[in-house]
Amino acid sequence: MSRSLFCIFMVFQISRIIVLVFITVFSKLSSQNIILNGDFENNVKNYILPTGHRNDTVYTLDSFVFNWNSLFGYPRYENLKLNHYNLKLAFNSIDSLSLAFKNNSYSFLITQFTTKDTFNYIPDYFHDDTGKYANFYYFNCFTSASTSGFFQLLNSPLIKDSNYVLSYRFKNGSKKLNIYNQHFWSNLMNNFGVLFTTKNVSKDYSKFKTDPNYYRQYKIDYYKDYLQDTILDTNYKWNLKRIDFKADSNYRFLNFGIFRDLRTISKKITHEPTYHYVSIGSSTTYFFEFAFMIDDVRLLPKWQYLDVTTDVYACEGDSIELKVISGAGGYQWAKTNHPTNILSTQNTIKIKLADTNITYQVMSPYDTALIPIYVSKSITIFDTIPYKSCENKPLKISTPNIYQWYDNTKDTTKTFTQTGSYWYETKEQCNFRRTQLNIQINSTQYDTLRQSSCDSFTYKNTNYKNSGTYTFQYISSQNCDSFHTLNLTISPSKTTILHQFSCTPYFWVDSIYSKTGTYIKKLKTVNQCDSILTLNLSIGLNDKIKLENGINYTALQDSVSYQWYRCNPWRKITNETKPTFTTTTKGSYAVILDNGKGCRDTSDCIALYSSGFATTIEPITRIYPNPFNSNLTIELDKSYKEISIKIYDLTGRQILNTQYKNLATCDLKLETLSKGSYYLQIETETNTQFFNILKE
Amino acid sequence: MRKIYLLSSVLFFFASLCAQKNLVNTTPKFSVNLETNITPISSINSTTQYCYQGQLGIEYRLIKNIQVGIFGQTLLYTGNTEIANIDNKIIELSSIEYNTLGITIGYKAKINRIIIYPKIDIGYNLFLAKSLDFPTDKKDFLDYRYLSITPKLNLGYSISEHTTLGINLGYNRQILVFKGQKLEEFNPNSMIGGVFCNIGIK
Repeated sequence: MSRSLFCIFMVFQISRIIVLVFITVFSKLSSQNIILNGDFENNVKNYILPTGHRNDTVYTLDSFVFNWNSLFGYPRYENLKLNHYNLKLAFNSIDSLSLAFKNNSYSFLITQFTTKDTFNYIPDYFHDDTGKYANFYYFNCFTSASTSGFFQLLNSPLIKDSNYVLSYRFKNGSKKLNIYNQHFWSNLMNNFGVLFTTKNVSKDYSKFKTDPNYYRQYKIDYYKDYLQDTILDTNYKWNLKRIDFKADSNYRFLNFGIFRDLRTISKKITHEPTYHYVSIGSSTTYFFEFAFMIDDVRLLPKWQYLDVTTDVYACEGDSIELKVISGAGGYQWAKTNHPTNILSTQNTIKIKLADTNITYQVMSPYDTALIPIYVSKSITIFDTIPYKSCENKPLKISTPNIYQWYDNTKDTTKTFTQTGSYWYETKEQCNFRRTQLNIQINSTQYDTLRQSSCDSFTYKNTNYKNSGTYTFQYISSQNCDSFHTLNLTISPSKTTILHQFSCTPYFWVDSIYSKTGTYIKKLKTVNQCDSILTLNLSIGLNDKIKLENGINYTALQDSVSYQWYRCNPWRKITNETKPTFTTTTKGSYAVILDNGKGCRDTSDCIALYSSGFATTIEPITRIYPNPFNSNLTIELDKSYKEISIKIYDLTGRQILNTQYKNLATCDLKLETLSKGSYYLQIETETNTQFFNILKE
Repeated sequence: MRKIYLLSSVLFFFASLCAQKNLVNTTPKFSVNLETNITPISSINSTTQYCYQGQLGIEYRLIKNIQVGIFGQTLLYTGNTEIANIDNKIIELSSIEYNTLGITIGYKAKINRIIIYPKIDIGYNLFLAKSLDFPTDKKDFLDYRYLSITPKLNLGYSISEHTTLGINLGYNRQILVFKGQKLEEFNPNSMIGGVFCNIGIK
């Protein structure tokens, strides 16, 4: 019995050894198949981790395989840190699903499903434009296979009620998981997102498969960010996704990954240009192209997390400032290609960009952040614009997008008053446009016409009566405002009216005037304008009287003194000294006029109740000379039998009384008579006449 | 006419003086009053003509010292020979006649021989002036009527029982125009002054 039992034991042992040997040999063979591209591993191996992070060994796939089981040994991680610098893994074999773990590093479960052929066939997936293996396509899936799972045991458990940041970035160009859903879970099939949990979840993935609220049932914080819901901005190389959360428990595990229930996928999915065939497990065949790349996953306490300037897209020659927005320091700024050359220890750094892309990094004791700067080269475009303007309309040029004027100013509006060539530059993205301004400022033209005229002047259909300066604006041949000035001097023609009274002939200008009347002389002023002189001349007093209604006497001479007299006998009417007088007492009456300046005159006598003017009666008697010196001749119209001649002075006193008979002409000798005016009364048998006589 | 009137007044005055010796020593009820005054007449051109005025009146002692009486009065116009146009008539100023009929009332006080006799003459004035044409046109003259009042103060001395001589001073004022108009050429409104003689009759 015991012998039989021993044999059986040995058979088992031998079988076990055989099996183990088989497995070992198989594994060795498999690992040999994985490593087909040695450059890949070399690049990963040579990668330099940023300062502040553990520069652990980069494990080869062999190491992964070797350490696979350590994942389940729950090694304690200091933190979770994943980016494309410190971990670059690629798997070109389905077997790698079982290998991709590292137990003592910044580890993360990453699975890449591809085939050997595909790996070789599409090498671009593993090369970026810098030649590094920067493009990785990670895919994590929960399947029935036991090889998946990407929960991590945190070396430093999250502290309850503390704030954390989980950030990750999608690289632009990431493609959503494009899985054809044949059956159910349609609400999830085209979703593509990120889930992380902070609790050790059950390995009962079957529940997850069937219940989308699986995590919630286990009170696991659940986030998802669907890529298809969040359109990636193609202007940025990286799209940062960030989850701020507060730990509601002292979590020790973090589970992060892309989830997708693939169980029901049974149909081949094609998507050009890639085509992958993956077989997982023994009973299920999956067809999918690839997932997306998670570039950076970090989990740090918020105060340690470096929040820095986002990716910079700038132009050659720009001066920019990079800065740490938040996150505990101190800081060390460096270019990633010279990480040991510390450029600044401040929270900001100012740099002037060259013409090539460059990445700056800022390192703190806890974190390292990268700021890629994408530099576009600048070119300058030249153009020329001619301008014309006028002196009084300075040219105003507005350039809202001004970058620089010729004089290094940056005014958005500039005014030009001088002819010349100028330029300004505008910047359109990274390109400059230098605009040459050929400015011609035409001057304003002025001219003046000096004109003199008399009374008025007609110019340009306008009659001007006043002196002055008149300005006319017109448009010159150069299309500019120009000004024409009329300097006008208007000299008035002069009209002078002179009222002059004289007892004797009056000398005026160049002539002697002996008769009352209006005389006009036309002369020239110093300005050669007409000067019209009018003389209203009165020689002697107007000795006419007017009799109206038979009783109303009016002297026709104005502005003199008046004294009325009754004729025959000649007597002064004491109280009649006005120009007019009325009486009903029969008789003849006359008036003596005196201008107070030595000129006196006496009207003819006119009898009451007669009519007309005293002077309208044709004289029938001639008396001459008058004025006289000594002798006075009276020549009657005929011979009268009785002629009585009397002379009165101006007071009415009778000076002479003499009688003649049968005479037609009487000669009076009046040598003894004093000089002055007198009244001569000639009375015949038929009438009585009065005359004024003057002895000189 | 006026000259005769004046002459008779003067004669009457001297006759009264001569007759006083025969007066009895009783105050008579009736008396004859003679006055002559110099009356300034404002004439043409604001000149003043000093004219003579004579008055003859009979007075009656009504009660005690109250005297009433009637009088006649004439003015001797001494104006010049000028002519003037008055009311459209050419008037010979020298032809002006100015006569008055009126009543008088006064109070005669006697202190020893001194007589103080304030009185008021109220007269009806007749103004006549001829035009130059009056000789041929008898209607061509002025005939104006006025009412005048002349308060006077007579101061006398009784030279006998019936005779009193004295001076008087008063103011003549035309107060109403019954006919015609007030004349600038003949304005008798003025102070007057003269002498008087009062002779008791009965």
